[in-house]
Amino acid sequence: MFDFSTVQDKETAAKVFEEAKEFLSLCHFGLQGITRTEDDVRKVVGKLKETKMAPLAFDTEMQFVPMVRELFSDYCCKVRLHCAVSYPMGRLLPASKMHALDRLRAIGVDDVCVCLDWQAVFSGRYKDIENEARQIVEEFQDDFYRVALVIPATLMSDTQIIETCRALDAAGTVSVKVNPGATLGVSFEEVALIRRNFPNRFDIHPSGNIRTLSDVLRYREMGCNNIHTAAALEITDDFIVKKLKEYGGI
Amino acid sequence: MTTILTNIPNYYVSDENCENLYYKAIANQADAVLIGPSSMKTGEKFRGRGVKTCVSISYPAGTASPDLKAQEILDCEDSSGIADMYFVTAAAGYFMSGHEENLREEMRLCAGSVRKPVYFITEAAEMTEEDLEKMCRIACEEKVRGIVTSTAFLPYDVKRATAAEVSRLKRYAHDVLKVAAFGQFHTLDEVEEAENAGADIIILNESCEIVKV
Repeated sequence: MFDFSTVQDKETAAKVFEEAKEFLSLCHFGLQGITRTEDDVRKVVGKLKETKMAPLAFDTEMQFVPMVRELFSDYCCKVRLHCAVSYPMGRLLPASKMHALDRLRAIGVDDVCVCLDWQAVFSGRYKDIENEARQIVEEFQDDFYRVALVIPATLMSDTQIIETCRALDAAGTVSVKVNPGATLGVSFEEVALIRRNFPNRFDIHPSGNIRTLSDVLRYREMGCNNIHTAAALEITDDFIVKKLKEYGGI
Repeated sequence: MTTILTNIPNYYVSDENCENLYYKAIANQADAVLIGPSSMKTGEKFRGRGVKTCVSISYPAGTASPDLKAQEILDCEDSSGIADMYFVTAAAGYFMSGHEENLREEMRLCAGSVRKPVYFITEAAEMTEEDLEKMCRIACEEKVRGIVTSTAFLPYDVKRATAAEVSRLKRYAHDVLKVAAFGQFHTLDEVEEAENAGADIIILNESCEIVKV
């Protein structure tokens, strides 16, 4: 993480730190996956704590939630915890997704994403998608900071994306996560397509394939304020350097 | 040796793809197919066609809590009677963090939730000998039918299981647990290697080259 003590002008350093804090607060950060151990998670939490900033949410797995909460208990910033449901392919039955969401709500997870049934998406069963989304939205949308429904946009045709979003619109969905990551990365075109067809309708969360500062800035220009990138801390460093160059701090 | 065809690691699965999985299983004389819960409706069309249906639980991450995994089995049972057996992904990372009790709990609850064989999927290549021994011992005690070497889910950045993992698991399975090899099989030689290592079950991705279309 960038060492602000190397900046001679303390006023500039403080200003850039505040801007970087705001920048990271629009990105997710964390660690997920089948073989991740407690030690792996501790290291990543430690890395984040060095920044003295908070991401939009810290992504973790259900069983690590108590440990992560404890690790952040003495931190200078409040950190939301995020968990994914039926990740990444959405193949759980709707009833199982509801049970999982119910549990996450009960253990105090702040933010969630839920993968829609991709088989329904690829088979054009849009009514099923609408029903699944409606069930989730009605029961849980007000209980988390965000309940984002995940679509595999990269694997979908434009028509499938539009029809799926229409189903989500009918179900009252607010947040749509465009791609899950896990090798399926978002593109500017996918976000633009949704924006064009559903102007000011969805809170779009781009995910995957976001590796540079210019990627993040462009998604922000497109109105995305909830960005999933595994490189959140590195990109924040780049943001700091850019800002210091602009203000003459380097 | 039992052969199972599957599409669970594949991202693009439509209703038509799922039907084709069953047709491929019939054409290739596979014993069973392994599908996700959301594919069970398609699977119902193939009831009585000579191909068994295995259903994956908590795939691929396996990070749900033990009772939620058991609940997922119950949800599948409530929704469809098509499953002949279940393949549950274990919370491997949590187990490797020292939470043996969690593995025991998930095995106990899942195996006890249904009168059908329950297998557990893990990432054996990431585990030490001590982990494998412990896992197999708990699986035997909790009446789990068998262990699968890997999720074979390619986006995961994990060490891939090979025939060596079959041999390692066989060492602790004591002829009580079945060992299923699940990985990237490109040739019949690789399948033979897993079989020679003692695999009781081979799980083949339907898209691999050795599956006849």
